[in-house]
Order: sequence, then structure tokens, then C-alpha cells
Amino acid sequence: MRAIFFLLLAACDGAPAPAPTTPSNGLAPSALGVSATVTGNGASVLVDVSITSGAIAVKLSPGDALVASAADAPALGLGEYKPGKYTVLLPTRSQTVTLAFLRDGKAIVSNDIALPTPFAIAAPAMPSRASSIALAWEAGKSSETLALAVGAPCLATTNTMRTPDPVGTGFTLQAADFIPYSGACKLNIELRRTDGRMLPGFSNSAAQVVQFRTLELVTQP
Amino acid sequence: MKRALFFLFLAACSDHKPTLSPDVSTRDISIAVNASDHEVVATLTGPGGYVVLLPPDHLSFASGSMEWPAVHVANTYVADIGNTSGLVSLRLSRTSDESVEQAFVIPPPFSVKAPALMSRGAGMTFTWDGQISNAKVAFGLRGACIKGLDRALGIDTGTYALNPGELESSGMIETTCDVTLTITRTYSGAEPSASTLAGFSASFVNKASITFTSSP
Repeated sequence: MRAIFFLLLAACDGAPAPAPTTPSNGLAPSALGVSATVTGNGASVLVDVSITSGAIAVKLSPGDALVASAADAPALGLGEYKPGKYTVLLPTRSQTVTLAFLRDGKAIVSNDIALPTPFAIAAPAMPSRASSIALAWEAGKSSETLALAVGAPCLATTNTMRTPDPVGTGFTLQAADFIPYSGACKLNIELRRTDGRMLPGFSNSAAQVVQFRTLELVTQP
Repeated sequence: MKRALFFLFLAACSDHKPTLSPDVSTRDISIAVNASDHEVVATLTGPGGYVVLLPPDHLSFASGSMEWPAVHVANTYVADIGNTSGLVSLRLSRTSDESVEQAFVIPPPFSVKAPALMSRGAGMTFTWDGQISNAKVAFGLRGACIKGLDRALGIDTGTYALNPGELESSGMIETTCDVTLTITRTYSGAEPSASTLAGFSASFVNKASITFTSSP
């Protein structure tokens, strides 16, 4: 009776079945599809990798590993956080990160992944919203894209998005971008510079590389 | 009899039974005014819905020495006031209840200026006139060779600049084409008054456009 009860519970359980995975040890690197996002903020780099074989997520077998390293950071292994997804936060100021696939302790595929052009966001101190506010940064390359996000309650659109010229050296917020607002208003600014890189040695693999910086800017009426 | 026929006519032409003015107090009437081109349109509502003025009750608009009677059209009252702008008064004249006068401001037409030719790779500055405090302004650009751009401005400064590259090209190949900038100004024009109406609102939408040549 008790067995039947548990059988019924199991049959009625709505929990989703785990996503199917295939082990990596039977696959050559050239059969692995690797998609990576490598994001740097000037102090550390987050490496996020997805591994598949066809449409199936790949689980790294014992003996296989993904590691990331840089000129100023020893290799750190990527840990699994979802089936087929691995990540690590590498403390590094280097603009190039090496992503390697190890099998039995030997790197059999290794890619040096260069981040986009680094930059810092400069802005005037305590600017007035009644005049234009010029943000400045180092110029990038034409292959890179820029996305500027500014969030503040004093903006006409609370979360404002802009696409600055990728080879330009800044962006100017207009007085008309702000609503009448009394007192100080803090702008939360984030700029992301994105580019793409190939990952030779794997199957149809690529990385999106990102540099992002943030700035909190207090403005006056 | 006249009243019954009038009411019957209105009921036949309307999905909802309107209220005739003798059956509603001025103090229970709300009036909403808006304008487009040369016309000013007023909508009267009471507790029972739309209010229709039974003669001799009537509605008019006045500015300076000019007065324009409003004509009943569907469930609104419409007057052609030409190019009048500035301070205008709505006059609700009644014999069986109190008459009221409510002032509002119609914003003047305005114009937009831009250079005849501008490169999207360089910055662009646009200017327009007729600023009104508390007006909301929308900025919109359209053209065959660009990605459309729409922006709500926080204040009406009479100028806006696009950063280099901010106006993006559309398609794989960058080309030159005519681009139209439209500035839309929305303004609420009710003036404070001691009017005994239940409510009053006046809102206006003015647009001005300019077309320029946009190159990559």
C-alpha cells in the first residue's frame, strides 16, 4: 500500500526532467560547440562558457577541464552552474584572457581572447542639468559597438539607452534630456563596449567580448 | 414638444442617450477642450454622460473682440477660430442656470530650423521656437536611409543636438536621403479661474516639421 502511494506521488510529481547531457570524454574538441562571453571591468574578467555537441549540452568528464588565465592571474578552472554552462571570475587587469581546454592535464585547445579597447568614463564634477553634460572616454575601433545606459529619476526616460559612435571619444547629454527636478540627482551610468572573437580548435565557436565601466555622477539643477 | 422631438432625434443618432442641458446644473458639467489646425473642439459631460445644449443655451469661444459660436457636431462643440493663439475664453451661456467663462491658452504655431545638409557622422543641432513652460516635447526623425529615432524630451529648451553617429544608418550600405524631423509639442492650457464648472481641461498638440538631407 505504501509502495503504491509513493508510486502515485512520483507519477504526479510536476518537477521537470533534468536537461539531457552528453559526457565530454568521448568527444574531440573539434566536435565541441563552444560559445563564450568574456566581460571585463578593469579589475576582473568574468568568463562564461556554454558547451554543446549538436543540440545537447556537454558535461565535462573527469579528466576534462576548462581553465582561464591571464598574464597577471594563474589558471582558474571554470565551474558548472547549469548543464553545459561553466563560469569563472578571474581577478586580472590584463586585456587578454587565455581560455584553454585541458584533457588529462594537457591543454589541447588554447585561445588568447582579447577584450575590446579599455576605457575609463570621465565627467565634469557636479555638473548642472541646465547645460549639456559631456561624458568622455577613450576611442575604440570600428568593429566595436558601444551601448550607453543612464538611469536617474531626473531623466525624461528614467532608464535611457544611447548608442554612441564606436570610434568617438564621448557622448553629451542634453539639457532637454532632463525633466524639471529639484535638488541633486545621481546619474547611474554604464558603458559597454562589445566585439566578437573566433575560438579556433572548437566547432563553429565564438566569443563575445565586453568591456564595461560604471560611473555614478551627481548632478545639480 | 420641441424638446421631445429634439431629444428623440438625438437618441436616434447616438448610441448613448445624452443629457439635455436643462436637466443638468452648470456645476455638474465638465468641459474638455482640444485643438487641431484651425478648430477648437469642446466636449461637455455631466453625471449622465455627454451634455447637449438645448437652445438658447450655447457655447462660444472669444479672444479680444472676436467671438466664434461653437456648432454641435456628434457629441462635441466645434468652432473654427482661424490662426488665433494666445489667451482664449470659453463661454457657456445659459438662461436656466449660471453661465460661466473659462480662459485657456492656445499655443502659437512654431517652426523648426536645421541646416539643409548634415552628416550623420558629425553632430547635428536642431532649433525651434515658441517655447512654453510645462509643455511636453517629442522629437522624431524619419527617413529611408536611417533608423527612425523618437525621443521624449524632459523640458522644452527650443534646441536638441544629436551626437556624432547617434542617428544610425539603416541597411548594409550607408546612403544619403531626405530626413524629416517632427517636433510635437503637447500643452495643457487651462488658466486658473473661479469658474463653477465641475471640471475643465484644455490640451493641445502642435507639430512642426523640417526636411533636410542626411548623408553618412
